[in-house]
Amino acid sequence: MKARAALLLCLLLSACAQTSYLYYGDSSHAYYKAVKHATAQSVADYKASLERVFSESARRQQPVPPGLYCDYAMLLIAERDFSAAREYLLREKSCWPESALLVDYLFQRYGLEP
Amino acid sequence: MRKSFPSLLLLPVLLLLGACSGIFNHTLGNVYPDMYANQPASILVLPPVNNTTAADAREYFSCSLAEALGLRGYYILPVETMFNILRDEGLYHERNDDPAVLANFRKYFGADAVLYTVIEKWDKSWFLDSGRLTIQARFALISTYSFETIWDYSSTIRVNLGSESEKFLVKLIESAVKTAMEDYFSNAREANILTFEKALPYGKYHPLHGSDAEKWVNWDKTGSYEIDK
Repeated sequence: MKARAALLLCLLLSACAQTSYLYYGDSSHAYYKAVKHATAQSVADYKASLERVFSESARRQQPVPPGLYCDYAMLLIAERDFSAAREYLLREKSCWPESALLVDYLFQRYGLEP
Repeated sequence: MRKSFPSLLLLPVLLLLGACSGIFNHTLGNVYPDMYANQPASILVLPPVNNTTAADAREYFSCSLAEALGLRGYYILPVETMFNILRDEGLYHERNDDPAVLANFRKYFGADAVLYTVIEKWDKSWFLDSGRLTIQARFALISTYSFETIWDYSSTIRVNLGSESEKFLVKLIESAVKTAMEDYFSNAREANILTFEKALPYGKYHPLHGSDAEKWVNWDKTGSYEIDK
């Protein structure tokens, strides 16, 4: 009887729970810490938080939130990994058509092949 | 004199009815018609203006606004990337409300609208066994096509920081000892998410886009809310 009640409660809760259509994880907070502290560790933590967003979004079959591929690409550019940066900029452009002008501008700004 | 009596009596009643209908008919669709007729798809978040003495408030906001807006279904131009561009172009500390500048945000970056944010209050108050943070901010979305304000809202959020004595004492000691290390980011994040949940229509990417035109919104475009931690 208790198990049945628990199952019913779980079903009710899952039905009521509203899953957001985007997953940000702790990336905004990690971004704040990177801005605030500006240390190699805080920037690395921010980068790792973005990678977690990418993998969790894929697992949930949700789009990566707008701008995050682009911000990740900027971190790669700071590491002079231009090839990977180009790939992530193209992902931003592919996922979010509104980013096309900005991504083209960034290709030009950093001398990347479109 | 007698003839004028009924009309004199009627006047306040009519005024009251008018005021009431005005108040109760304020829906998102009525208050923000441009957000439905010419809704922006992409938003550029400009660096917030900080009118408070809390030095970190600006970063709290600038680092949390993209998430709060993104969750409403808009394409948010990447904040750090855009801030770097604004710094390089000498626009980071400017108000950027000149039509020529706004038109360039559209032309070069594809921004349909820009978000202005003014932080008016960031007050921490401590009582005997509890703390409270009051955050007050004004927001405005300006179209890069019409250069008009298409959405604006002012919110006051009171965050109750806890009332358990033990927890509070720990927080108080931490706060006193580590003033420079205080991190109220999550409060700003929650406040911004709550504000946009209450007053910003869904953008084109939100699964519920187009379903909120009849949602009630305060007629004076202000809201006061509480968050319990």
